[in-house]
Amino acid sequence: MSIEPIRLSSWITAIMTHLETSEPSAHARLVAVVGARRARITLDGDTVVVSVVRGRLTVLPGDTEPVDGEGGSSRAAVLALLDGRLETSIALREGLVYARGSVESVGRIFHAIEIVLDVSARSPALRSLAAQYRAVAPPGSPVSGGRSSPVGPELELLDRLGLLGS
Amino acid sequence: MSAPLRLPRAGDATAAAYKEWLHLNVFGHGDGSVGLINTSLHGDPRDPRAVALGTALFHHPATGWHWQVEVQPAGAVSLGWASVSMQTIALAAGLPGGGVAASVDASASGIQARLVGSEVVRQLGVPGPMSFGSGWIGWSVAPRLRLSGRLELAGQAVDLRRASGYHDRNWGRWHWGDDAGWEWGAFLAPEPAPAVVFTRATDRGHRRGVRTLGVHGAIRKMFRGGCVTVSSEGSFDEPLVRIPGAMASLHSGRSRPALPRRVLITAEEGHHHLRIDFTVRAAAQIIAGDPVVRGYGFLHELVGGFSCEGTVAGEDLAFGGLGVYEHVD
Repeated sequence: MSIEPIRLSSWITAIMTHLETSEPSAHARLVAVVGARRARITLDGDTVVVSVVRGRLTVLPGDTEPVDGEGGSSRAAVLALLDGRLETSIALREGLVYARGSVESVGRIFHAIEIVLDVSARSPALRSLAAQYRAVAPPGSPVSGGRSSPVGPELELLDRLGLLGS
Repeated sequence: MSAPLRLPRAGDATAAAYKEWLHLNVFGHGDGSVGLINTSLHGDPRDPRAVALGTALFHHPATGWHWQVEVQPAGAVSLGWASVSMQTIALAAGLPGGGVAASVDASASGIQARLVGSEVVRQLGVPGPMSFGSGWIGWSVAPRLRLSGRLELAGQAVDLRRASGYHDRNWGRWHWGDDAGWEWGAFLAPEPAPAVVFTRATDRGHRRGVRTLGVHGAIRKMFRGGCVTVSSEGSFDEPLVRIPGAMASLHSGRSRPALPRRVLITAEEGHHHLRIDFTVRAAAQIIAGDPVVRGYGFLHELVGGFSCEGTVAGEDLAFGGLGVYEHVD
């Protein structure tokens, strides 16, 4: 018997519900950070657009236009990050996690993610959600689930400018 | 000497800051493996926000780091008289004779353990509690255990007949993120060498705090205060294991902490003198998030080898073995 995968929209909705219940002030900060912007988020080909509608982060269809930025990853990479098997900097460098848009938009995407991670340290509900996410299916390999690196040209540019760390 | 968990009583106004740790270190002299198993409680277990954290973290010279982290609501784990049992990690102190039992069931992480430690050097109650951050901390230590049972890392058995154990317990009231930190080191050579234990409770910037260096074996000696000095050399700049991963992602700015390659600890008091020279082989960072207030503590575990020489109580000492040095800020 196969288990129907839970859609990305359901995970995002659950995260936001638990965030608001656990720490309303953090939820308010996240809403303020997102502001009027829209971001397209993709996880293993499941794409949604998120935006604040009437004071709440709302999940819209993936083909909603326009968007201010986009980001994505794979379930395998997310689990590797949660397990400590993958560092964020390496995930970004290898294209296992990506974000595109203006500097302002990309900064706000990561700011929103940091708010959720920070609250998770104090929210049993968010930790429980992470456990559910882990339990849905085996994690597999982060590389096989990841994108081929979309940031090669950017890496070459950073390398030429001497801005790439060792 | 053994004691139950120091759970906060009803009506304790400081219960939200409750912390307690049960801790076991393993030093595999045969293959060079070094690791820890601990279970800890953070926050009043009656508070749904409180968490129990189980950690098993081992480094093997051939296979590198192996780790398992389990986080559960404190109310959902089994708390015994002096034990914390989680799904994959459990640790019980206060066994007859002051022993310890630990188990780790984490095949996917490469760790399988069923360990019993019996005291070789009797447990010490360290004077205290000491001021620590916004609260206080208490500490007791069993400097050397003899281990039995089995421990497998990546499917390879660690020879426990050639291993040493160390056990301690911490309890108190503080919040992660307080202006608090500590330095601690346990240096164990095969018996009959004494276990050498270093500790210092300090502030986050490690600017103040009394150092102690204890020699625990057939001869016993405690050095305290200004007669104990610590210096470091070099920089350990290899990649760290950082756990839990979500907290590591949140604190990417802490991914390259300033850790030493070598730590030198000296103690001199009258005719007694001792020198520990510890070389770091690998390092890991455990990030503890407070479940009640917004704050984080960063526990750096440095494993490696050491040599020790000196004269204590008229006896010349010269031995070497495996050690763990912990730097918390």
